[in-house]
Amino acid sequence: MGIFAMKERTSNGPPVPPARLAGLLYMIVVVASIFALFSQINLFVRGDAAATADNILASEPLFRLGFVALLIGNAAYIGVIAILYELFKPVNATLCVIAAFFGLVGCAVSGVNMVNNLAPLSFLGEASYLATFEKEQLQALARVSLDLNVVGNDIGLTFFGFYCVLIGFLIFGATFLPRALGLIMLVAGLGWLTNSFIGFLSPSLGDSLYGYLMPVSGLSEILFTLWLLVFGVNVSKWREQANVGARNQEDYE
Amino acid sequence: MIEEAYKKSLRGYARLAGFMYLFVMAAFIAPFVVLSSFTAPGDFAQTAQNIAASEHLYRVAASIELIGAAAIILLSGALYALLKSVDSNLALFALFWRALEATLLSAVAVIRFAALENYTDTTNDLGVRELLRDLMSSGIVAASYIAFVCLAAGSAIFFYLLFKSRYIPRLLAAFGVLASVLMSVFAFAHLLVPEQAAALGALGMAPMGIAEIGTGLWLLIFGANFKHWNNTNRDTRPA
Repeated sequence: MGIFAMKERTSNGPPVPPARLAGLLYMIVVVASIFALFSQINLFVRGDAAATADNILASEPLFRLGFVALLIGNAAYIGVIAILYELFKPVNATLCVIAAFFGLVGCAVSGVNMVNNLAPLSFLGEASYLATFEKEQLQALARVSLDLNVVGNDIGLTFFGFYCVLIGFLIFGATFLPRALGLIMLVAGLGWLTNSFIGFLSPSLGDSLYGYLMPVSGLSEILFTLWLLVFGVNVSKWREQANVGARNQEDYE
Repeated sequence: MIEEAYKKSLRGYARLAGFMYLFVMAAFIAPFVVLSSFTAPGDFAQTAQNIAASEHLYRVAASIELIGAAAIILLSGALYALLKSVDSNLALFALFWRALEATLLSAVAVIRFAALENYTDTTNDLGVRELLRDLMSSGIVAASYIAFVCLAAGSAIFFYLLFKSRYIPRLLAAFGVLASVLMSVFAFAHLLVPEQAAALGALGMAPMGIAEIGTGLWLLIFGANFKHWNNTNRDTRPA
């Protein structure tokens, strides 16, 4: 049964996309991301490939769990994008498509980047063909993968940042959600974008700002998620906006 | 009234597409020039030294390249909005190809930043760093040419829709279709027979550059011409 078959049908009129399901999926993304972050971040020792490699090998099951959490989070995000697309289509269908593509490219970049998350385990494994390399070389390759993974995450966040900004604009135009949520999503998106670009331009400044920007953006997204989960959307106002959009389309045709 | 508002929004999308064509072009050419200037052919140590001395400039160039990748989605979104009334499925299909291109170019950006670590980190042996650089360069080249295939596919469809709608002069749109075909041939040649294709240099990309700059300038200065498409649509609309 597809998600769109679960649309709420409280009265006559167009079926409303399941906003609470979007909230639930968004919550899975949030929980999975936080779990992945905390399960892996303590294993990395800055500037010490050997110690990082030892930590990863010593906590391999936890490292793998972090990877699985990322994978589940990424898959859930695609569901969020699909439902929010349907939800905001009456506001501005074109902007919705552009936002959805920003989100999907973010998911694709993150998905491809997951290879870099798991690759250190291959380099640090015991496959016979790895005997050609020195231990230090394999540790260096594992570190390159982790570096690629960190940069890839920031690049994925750039696209998610644009996605959050566009969702913020769509909320401003929507009558079925409080405008304050639009501002919250705008803050979240701008926070991710600032975090990524400052990190690219000046890693040391990025590191010191990360502790401030990450909680601001993360909490903003959590607030939006909780709103969707607890309150959903104002169904009658959503129908009203969807009907106006449909009438305008018919009038033009 | 609604038709007028709709036309006004289409005019806005046409100008946005025009501007984004030029912006995306600049966002890829400028970093290419900057990053190429660091390379000392056949001398990894000198290249690494050049990059380490201008690390900030390298970071700015790679960031602009990433902004260019994100701008591709805005460009294709504007073209989609402009052309969906001509054929919504084809316009969406073209948008999909260009989003794939943006994904691949983002992967290139990932490798660029990781390569920077390799250039500036002096703790590893020079030979190992050179080997890693070669691996990363191969990744950048392969991802770029696959991205060019996606660019060619998306552009061919968008230019076909521009040709069909006559929003821009048909000659320019037809040239865009031809340039897209040439670019896909050029990109596949690089993937299949890289050494022979390298002799072509940037020749395979030049027509696409001309078509995109021409279309960008046209849309930005003159906007889209809706007259012909509106008349055609009115004639075929059921009574």
